[in-house]
Amino acid sequence: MTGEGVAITIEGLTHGYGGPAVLRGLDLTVPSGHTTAVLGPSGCGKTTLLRAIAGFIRPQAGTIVLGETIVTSPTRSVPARARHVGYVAQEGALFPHRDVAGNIAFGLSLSGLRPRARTHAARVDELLTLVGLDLSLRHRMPHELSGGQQQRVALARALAPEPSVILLDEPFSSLDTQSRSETSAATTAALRARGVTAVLITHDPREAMSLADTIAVLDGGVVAQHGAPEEVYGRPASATVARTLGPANLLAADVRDGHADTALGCLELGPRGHAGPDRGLADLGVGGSTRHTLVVVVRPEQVLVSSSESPGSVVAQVVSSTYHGHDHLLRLRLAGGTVVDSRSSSAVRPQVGDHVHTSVDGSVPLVTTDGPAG
Amino acid sequence: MAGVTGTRPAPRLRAGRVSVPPVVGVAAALVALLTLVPLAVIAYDTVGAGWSEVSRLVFRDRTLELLANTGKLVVGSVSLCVLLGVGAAYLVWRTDLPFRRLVHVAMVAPLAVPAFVNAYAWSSLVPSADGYSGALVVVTLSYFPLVYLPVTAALRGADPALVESAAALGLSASATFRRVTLPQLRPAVLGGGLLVALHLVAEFGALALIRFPTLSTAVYDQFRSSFSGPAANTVASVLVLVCLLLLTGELTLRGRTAYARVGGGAARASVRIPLGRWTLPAAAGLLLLTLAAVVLPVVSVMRWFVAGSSSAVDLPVLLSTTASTLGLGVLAALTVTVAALPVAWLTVRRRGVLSTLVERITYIGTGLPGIVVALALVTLALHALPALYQTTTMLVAAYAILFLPRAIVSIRAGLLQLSPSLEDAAATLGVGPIGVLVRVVIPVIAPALGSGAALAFLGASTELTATLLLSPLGTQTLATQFWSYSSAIDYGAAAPYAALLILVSAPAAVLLTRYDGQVAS
Repeated sequence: MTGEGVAITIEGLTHGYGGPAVLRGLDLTVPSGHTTAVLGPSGCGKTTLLRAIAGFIRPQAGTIVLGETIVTSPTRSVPARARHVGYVAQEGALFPHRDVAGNIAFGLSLSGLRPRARTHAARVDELLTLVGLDLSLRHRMPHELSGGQQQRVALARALAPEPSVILLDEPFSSLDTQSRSETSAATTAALRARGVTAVLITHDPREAMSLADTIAVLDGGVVAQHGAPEEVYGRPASATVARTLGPANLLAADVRDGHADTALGCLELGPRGHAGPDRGLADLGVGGSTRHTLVVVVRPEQVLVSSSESPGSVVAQVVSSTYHGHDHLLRLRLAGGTVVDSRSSSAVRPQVGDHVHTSVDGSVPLVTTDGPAG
Repeated sequence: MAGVTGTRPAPRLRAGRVSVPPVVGVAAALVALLTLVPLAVIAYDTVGAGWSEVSRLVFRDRTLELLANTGKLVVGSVSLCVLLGVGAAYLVWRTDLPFRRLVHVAMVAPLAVPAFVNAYAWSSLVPSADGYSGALVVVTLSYFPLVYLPVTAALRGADPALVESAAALGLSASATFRRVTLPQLRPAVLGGGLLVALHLVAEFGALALIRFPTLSTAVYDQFRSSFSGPAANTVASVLVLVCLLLLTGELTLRGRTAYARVGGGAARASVRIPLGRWTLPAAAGLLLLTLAAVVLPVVSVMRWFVAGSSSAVDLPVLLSTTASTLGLGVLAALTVTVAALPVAWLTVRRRGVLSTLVERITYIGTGLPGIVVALALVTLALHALPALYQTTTMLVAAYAILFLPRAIVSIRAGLLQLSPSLEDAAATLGVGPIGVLVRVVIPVIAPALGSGAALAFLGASTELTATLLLSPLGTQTLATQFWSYSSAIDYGAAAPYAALLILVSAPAAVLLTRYDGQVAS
């Protein structure tokens, strides 16, 4: 199943629930054998996208192709049970009347060959090992498992019939911090071992960046940007994408000669993010006749604070200071009133009211924004 | 799923997705129509009798006297039930009373003794226990658990932090009870009280044995003397009006109290109030209550059983009666479960005006006295369906109307546990709709189906009033056989039947406590 092919091709997907459309002509290509995270805030349509791929809903328009098979088109809709995709629900959705083995084997008894029970037992053990669960859990009932164990059983159950694609609907969101990291690591390992194509729905950018090979950021019912985690984080295609991936200072910028004049001084511009093919600088209005508000994205960890002046540094006053143990967050007011956040793990923590010198580490990406910069 | 709590609200796109097959909707509507039949027949008959005839029958001294008797009994007994129910629940759940678990069981146990068996036990032991005071004692002892159970649920669900905050604000224990606990208990007390009132208005067997005439016993007497004449039906329609009034109150309250019930789970135990020198009086009071409500009837039945065994129990009759009771019970259980499933399915999977209406209509069965349902079906048979008169079909139909709400409550609870994502998961594993039904839905709700069926079976097995009027000629059940002996004051012959009735009722009592006494008709 691994390879350079395409596992899922989605074109022009549109769907709504009576009100304004949730998905508006969404296009997305998911490469084979990789994990793709679909990231976005609540209500951005990511669950609808997943339900459309699974075949739980029939979208109003658009086509979905799994491998070579058209499963959704204006004239055709393959039912969920015939799509051969795996599905892991938010809270596992284990069948409460079956034990762990019974859950994992649920989809096995349907494959035409009717394999014998002993073959099933072997498969169950193999899958339990794959998801990192102890074989002694085989005959536990779902309510006797922890939340993380339930999610792993749900994953094993979904992998059992060897689907080419597996869909994960916020599978870790209901787990506590500790079991979340363990369960997500076990999940990634199992998916990698099988080389399965996975689509992971999440609203947690850290989860998306640490688990996925590529991230598709949803905004306004379309994919705003799709690329490797480093790409969407470091070179966001828009201010919304930048904010979706993590805390960001958005500063109004005057652009000239590969540099931007901002409240934090003159900053070096980094390479540009791409929403899709053929979207160059001209799209942002630079050099064109249309004027958008141009802003640069400065991550809080790029804003360095020092007590002494250095070339190009800017004076700021500390408005608030929050301690987080491994680092601290400073809110700074710059000359002219602009407020920026700075995250630092330095041992020295300035006090509220202190005057400090700020500079920016590295280059910053330029994006457009609909709202005012600040 | 245990151990997993959603930190985010469920996706709001779930509605509208789950489609209910039209056949389910049609079946649910038919069931709702069946439960409307008794009301329709009584209303039709009353209107048909003409206003002058109706007013002559209603506004005569006898009817007004019956209404007054019913009212007197309801006011007196509901007050006593609230006093006993709240008092006992508070002592068990909020104080350091000794043997609390045991006391809790003793406070629920009276539900295992049918009220008419309790009346037999008392009147055979204390012959002077008749009239208003006798009736008041017997029905109160039979029905106070209907207040005890919801109050218990409310006390256990309440946040202990409220009582703690009151203490921190300097309130004494009694002031805390009056200003914090009591207001929280209001919905439970009102709901339980209304449920008791519904039972009292419908009660026939106990009051007839104690010789305290109410609307319910009068309908039976009228039926006996004039068959289904306008006299019986007019009194029945007054009875129906009283019931509907109470039922409306109960339904309104249920709608509003839903939020007040804090979901179970591991609520922090509240700090118990030390009783100190009140321990002995409190324990003695509860012991006395247990003696009167549970021990006395059981001992009385056993005494007559031993005394009666000398006059030789008619074993063949006992066996044939037991057999026909079991047969009718099984038929009723199957019918009620099959009828309840589409209603429960519709109300769980498709919330809307229509499904709420269907659910409310089927709930009317809780408020209709068995005597009214039976009289209406007799009237219907005599006027329109003579072939059905005194057939098993008609009797089972009456059972279905009376016990449908119990089964619906139970099956609904089961269906609510069946998350739609289970069906999604099964579909992605290659299972079709029939497979989902057989391999997922039915196994998951099997316990709920089973307890719904059991409740209907147990209810039908101990039902007296409708069975007296509707059972086919020659068919006797435990309840009717018991009735013919005990109303003939043949206490010894009635004793084995009384013992069997208690045995059949006990599991129903256990099952009913699971649903917080929401439906316990």
